This record gives sequence, structure tokens and C-alpha cells, in this order.
Amino acid sequence: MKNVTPPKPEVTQTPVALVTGSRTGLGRFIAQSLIQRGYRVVGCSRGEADWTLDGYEHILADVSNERSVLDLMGRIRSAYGRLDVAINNAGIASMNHALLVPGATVDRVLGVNVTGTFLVCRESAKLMQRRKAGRIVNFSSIAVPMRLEGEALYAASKSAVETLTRVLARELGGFGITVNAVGPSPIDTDLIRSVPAAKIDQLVERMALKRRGTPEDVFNVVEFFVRPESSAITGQIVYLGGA
Amino acid sequence: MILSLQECTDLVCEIYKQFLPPGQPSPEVKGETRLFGDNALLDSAALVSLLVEVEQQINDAVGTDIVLADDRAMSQKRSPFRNIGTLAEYVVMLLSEKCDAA
Repeated sequence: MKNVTPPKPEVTQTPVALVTGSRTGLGRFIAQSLIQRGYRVVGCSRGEADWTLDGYEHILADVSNERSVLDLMGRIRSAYGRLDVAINNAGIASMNHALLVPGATVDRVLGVNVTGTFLVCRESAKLMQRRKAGRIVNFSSIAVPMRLEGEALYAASKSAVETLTRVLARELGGFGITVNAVGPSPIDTDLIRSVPAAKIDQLVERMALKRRGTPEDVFNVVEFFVRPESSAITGQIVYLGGA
Repeated sequence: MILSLQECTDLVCEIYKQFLPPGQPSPEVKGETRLFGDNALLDSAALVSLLVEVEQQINDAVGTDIVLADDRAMSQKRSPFRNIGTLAEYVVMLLSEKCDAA
């Protein structure tokens, strides 16, 4: 039989991480922190990033669009030949009473938060399974356990992310891939910039720790999940601030 | 670069062998080899791994980003994943469409 096994792309020796929604805020912080830890980081967002760093490549991508995610992963596969970590940070919020949420907003929030997370998980796992190792970290929210009024749609989308995380942990465990999620407490980023400060303060008062979260708090959990020593940690949701 | 049906079939055969249960006599692997159902040797997890590996190796070889488990494949009355030959045919069809669209 003729040997038609194709050559695999050249594989970099440096571990490669994907961070979605890395143009600003938390995603940017996580991307930069991973670079400091020795990762080559591919970040993506729908808009151009206004920052650069050695070891960072930014790709325009809409995670809610399958074609866009396939292009993103094709670039990672051809340029680096591997993917070790995927951080599903991209997300959008809808802070409004349910009776005032337009249908188009429902599609948009579920598209990015649920469909986007699913597509990135699926395509990341395809790359990771070749090395029989990988770390996927999804983003939930304290809006889920706290059942926050005014965030029905957002909390529902993050509940879906949690279920996705737990089930994928089982489906991908055999490939050596762990899937976990972090649920940050309120952090001063674009995600909550339209929420009145008094609302955020009320929310923080209901938590065990009476302070807003920081990007460092979130990265601490992310770093724990992606460590090689965390190979037995999967299907877990960690909330910050004692929600 | 476009792979011929024979090249695709050979590639799937080679990958298929990687996922056979260890410790058993090597069966003859050919186009008619069933991937699931009666007389199939792969369990469901191995079938998933096979499909992912075929997809990845094809994409590596041809520089495409085809997805084997697309809506069309999953909705067909006769699954393109029923044996090695039908899988290879499906791959060639997807590659042809990619080529035509380019």
C-alpha cells in the first residue's frame, strides 16, 4: 500500500495558548500573564488589538461564527502545530430586566457565550487530542449561583457554559484534556461598564468577600487549572469572592 | 493539493489501524471495513478519535479546514461514516467542494 500519511506541520517546542476576547480587559491581562509564564499566545477578538507583545499574535475572529473559528484554528495548526491551553474568555453581557431584552440580544448573547464557547472547545480539543493533553478554561459568572435579577439572559448563558464544562470534562477526559471554569466576581472591565456602580456595590455586599475582583484573582485560578500538575482537576467551577 | 479517492482510502486505512483494540489479530483493513454497527471493531470513543484524526491529517496535508461531522453528514439517511470507503468518498467530496469554492 502506498504511504500517503501526510507530513504534520512543524511543531513549536513552546507551549501555545489561545485566549479569546484578548483585545481588552481580562482577556488581555490573561494573555500577557501567560506570555510571562512562557507561553506563546494567540489571541482573538472581533476588533484589532491596540497592543502588541513578543510572543503574541492577534487574529480577528468572531467566536460565534463557525467559519471564523475554523479559520482561527487553521492558523494555529499551520503556524504552531499544537495547542496546549484554550481560555474561553470572550463573552458579552446583557444587564436588563428580562421584559426589556430584545430577541436580537438573546441571539447575540447566546451566540458568543454559548455557541462561541462550544465551537472553541470543539476545535481546540481536536488540536489538543493529538498530544493527548490539553487544558480548556471556560468563563462562568457569579451571576449563576447568585441568581442575579436583571441578568436572566446572561446568567442562563453562563449556566449553559457550566453544563458544557462538566459534560465536556467527561467527553474529553479520555484525550487527556481537562475542562474547567472560573466564575469571576465583578471586575472593572467593559463587561460591566454600563451597570451603575451602586448596583455593583449591592452585589458585592451579598458576597463573602466584600470587594470587587481583580484580573490577578482570575488569573490565579486560570493558572491553577492550566498547570501540568492539575491533570486530575476537571469538570470544576470555581467562583471568586465567595458567591 | 487534492487527494485522490485511493489516497484518501489508504490514509483512512492507516489511521484506522492505529485505533484497533490491542492484543487481537490484525484484521484485513480495506474500503469495505465497517466503522460502526455489526462487525465493527471500533468502539464509539475510537470512532470519534478516528474521525478527528482523519480530519486533522487531511487538513494538514491539503491546507484546508474541512469538518467531517458537518450538518450534511449527520443528517444523511446513509451515513458517510459507515465504512472506510464511504468516509474516504465523503472526504474527497468535501475537498472537491473546497477546491471549487476557491
